[in-house]
Amino acid sequence: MIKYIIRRMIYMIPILLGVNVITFILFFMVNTPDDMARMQLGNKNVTPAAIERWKASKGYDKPLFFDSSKQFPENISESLFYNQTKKLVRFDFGLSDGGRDINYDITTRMYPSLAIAIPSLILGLLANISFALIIVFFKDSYIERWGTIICILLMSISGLFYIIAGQYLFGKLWKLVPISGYLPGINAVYFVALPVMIAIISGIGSGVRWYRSLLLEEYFKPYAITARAKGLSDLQVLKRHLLPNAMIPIVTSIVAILPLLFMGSLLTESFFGIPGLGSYTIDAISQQDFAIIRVMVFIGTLLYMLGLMMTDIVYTWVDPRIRLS
Amino acid sequence: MLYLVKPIFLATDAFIWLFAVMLTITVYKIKRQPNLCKKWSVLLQSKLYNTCLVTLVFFCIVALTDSIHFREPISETHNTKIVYSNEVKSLFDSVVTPLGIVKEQSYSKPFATHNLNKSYEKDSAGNYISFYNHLKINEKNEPSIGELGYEFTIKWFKWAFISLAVLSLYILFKERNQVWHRRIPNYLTTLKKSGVLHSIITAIILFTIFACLINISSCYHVFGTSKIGEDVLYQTMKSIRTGIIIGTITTIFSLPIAIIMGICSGYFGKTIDDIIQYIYTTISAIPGILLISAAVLSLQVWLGRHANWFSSMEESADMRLLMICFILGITGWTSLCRLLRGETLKIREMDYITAAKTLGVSNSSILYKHILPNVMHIVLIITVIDFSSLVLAEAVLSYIGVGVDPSTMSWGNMINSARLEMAREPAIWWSLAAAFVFMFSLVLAANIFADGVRAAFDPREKNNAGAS
Repeated sequence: MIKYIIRRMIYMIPILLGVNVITFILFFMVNTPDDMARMQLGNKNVTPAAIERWKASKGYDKPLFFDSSKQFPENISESLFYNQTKKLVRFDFGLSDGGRDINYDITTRMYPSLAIAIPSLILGLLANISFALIIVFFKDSYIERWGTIICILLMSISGLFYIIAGQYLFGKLWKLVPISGYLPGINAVYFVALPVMIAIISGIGSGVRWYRSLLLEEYFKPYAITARAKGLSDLQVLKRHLLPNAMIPIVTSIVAILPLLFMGSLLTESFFGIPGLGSYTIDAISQQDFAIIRVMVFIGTLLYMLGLMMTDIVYTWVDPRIRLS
Repeated sequence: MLYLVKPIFLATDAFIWLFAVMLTITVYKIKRQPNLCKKWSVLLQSKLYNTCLVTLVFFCIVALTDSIHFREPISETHNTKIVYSNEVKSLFDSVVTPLGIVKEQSYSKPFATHNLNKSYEKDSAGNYISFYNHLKINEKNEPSIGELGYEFTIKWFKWAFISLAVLSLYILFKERNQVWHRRIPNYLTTLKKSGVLHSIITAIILFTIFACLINISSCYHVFGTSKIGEDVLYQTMKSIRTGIIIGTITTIFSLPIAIIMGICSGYFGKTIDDIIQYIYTTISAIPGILLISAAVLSLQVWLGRHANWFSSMEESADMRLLMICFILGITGWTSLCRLLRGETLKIREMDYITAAKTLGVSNSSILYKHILPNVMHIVLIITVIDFSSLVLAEAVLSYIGVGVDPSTMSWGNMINSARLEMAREPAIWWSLAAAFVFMFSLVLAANIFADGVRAAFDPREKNNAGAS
């Protein structure tokens, strides 16, 4: 098992390197350091000397991949690509283009993101699975018919609508919760309640449909037909046979997204003014702060790969048929 | 004087017409294959899916007419040289004139009751007092809704009568081997059986609603006006083009990559498989929205550097729209590629592939003749499912600030600019509502149709249904 994990971790290296190359091409070749300097210093009236100074202060004045004027180890280690990669691998993210410490920002902004993401995941999961179970239990009835129709309706509404309508109704009209903002500690409940509710509602359409299709796939398998044939009630079949088997894809898919919870939700956080990593990313995008975006891409990729690895491990744990090769 | 318009070719126009032509060719090809024809006719005999398809086609027609751009000559010039106006119009604009002409200052009736800007007046004591002026209703002696409705009904019946007469003559001529009084009923039964009658009725209803809206909007703002006085109905209708373009052109970019990579990776295996798997794992490892916004931001800087390439603002806005489609396509092909690879792996082991190989058929023709037709159902299902999510994604991208150009009319831009107006007292909701209603109807039609397509073409669904 440990051997397998180590092999998976080695497999992650080329992919991380590939992602790093893609972001490097986007941020340093399509969009050159000169452009960045001009953007940060203001587009007009920038002297070339000021651009050079800015680049030197950030370390962006090095050649991209290769310094041909130097000998072997230095010609690579003095390049921009090597230095940027080294910083990312060491988790030393440095300063943002705006001059703030990225490491500090990420560690403080992680908790509000989790305060939204964890309750939304758990409650959303409970809601989705229970509705899916109800729909499958009342198969071939008007409950199933209308349930699926409502799911499609909910799916077709833009997520922005839920947020705007929720803020208007609960925040402005009924004044139940504050429209936006965040407080640390126990008071966070007031601020988190509405975003969590909206996250659940906006995910319920596609979620229920997906869980329903997972359950239905098991519904027609021979073991389920046998169980019904020997006289078990629908409820018992559902509870003892279908649900445990359908849990395998459910659990593994949840494990895959667990690490990504740190990244926060872009839309919810920025609409509700929650100082999490999602709104951090959005702010970085709107201020065109490429240093932050690059770090967030790196962390996101790392967490995604972690999720994939955890999925594989959990697979072997919940499904004994799968033996590691 | 010659009254000729000067056509303007925008890049996205070319692509959307290319897509339409490709779609037409595909429909003709499907018509010649009986097995596919049967599946489609089963799908279209269902009233629900039929309605959705007609709705989608209706949206597409609006988008296509909105994709023929030109500049009109200015009529006052009497010289031999024709002077063209600077404003780029589309065929759709001319159809719905005077809808696009800005007549109001700001928010206006029917939804707004007061002027947005304060007026000042001296009261009896000599102090200035500020107040919001009432918007006056019917200040221009406009015809009432009743009069408009009456006119419209007369027009509608006139056209209905003419088209009905033409149609009956056509049927009488076409079914001439029948007894004359059986000709029309017979034809109608065949139409009804194939579901075409239902499509026609849906199309008539949609067209009536559309014509009714256009007719009323010549005097009234059906969905009110925006902050700068533009008609909201006009804005949402122009946004249809943006939504459809994002949904369709993206697939033009992503499908070839996904199909070629997917089936090659599954069929050849070994090194090719490793390389392709590495590429799509790497791209899918980056969180989607981050990759998209990073790419859009970088290319935006790049476009800014080459601003002199574009002669007008329309062209650069259009290039940005095309660029977004390109980026969405480049980042969005991985899931389809993975599915196609898996399916090809299964098909590769089939007997008919082995037979083709032993007979000495070349790899390229095995891929094209045996594997491609057998994975096409996956391509179709995924494309239709992705369409709706792309339309929804456009709004989110515009909100983040990496969407279409602010001057392009799109639902995302409408929502984004109207979002903060909800905080006013009383709330200004009509702009948002119109954008959401139109986006909802397009996405809903696409989602339901996608469901139908999956039910008709996915062999797994059939197994489930068969066992029950």
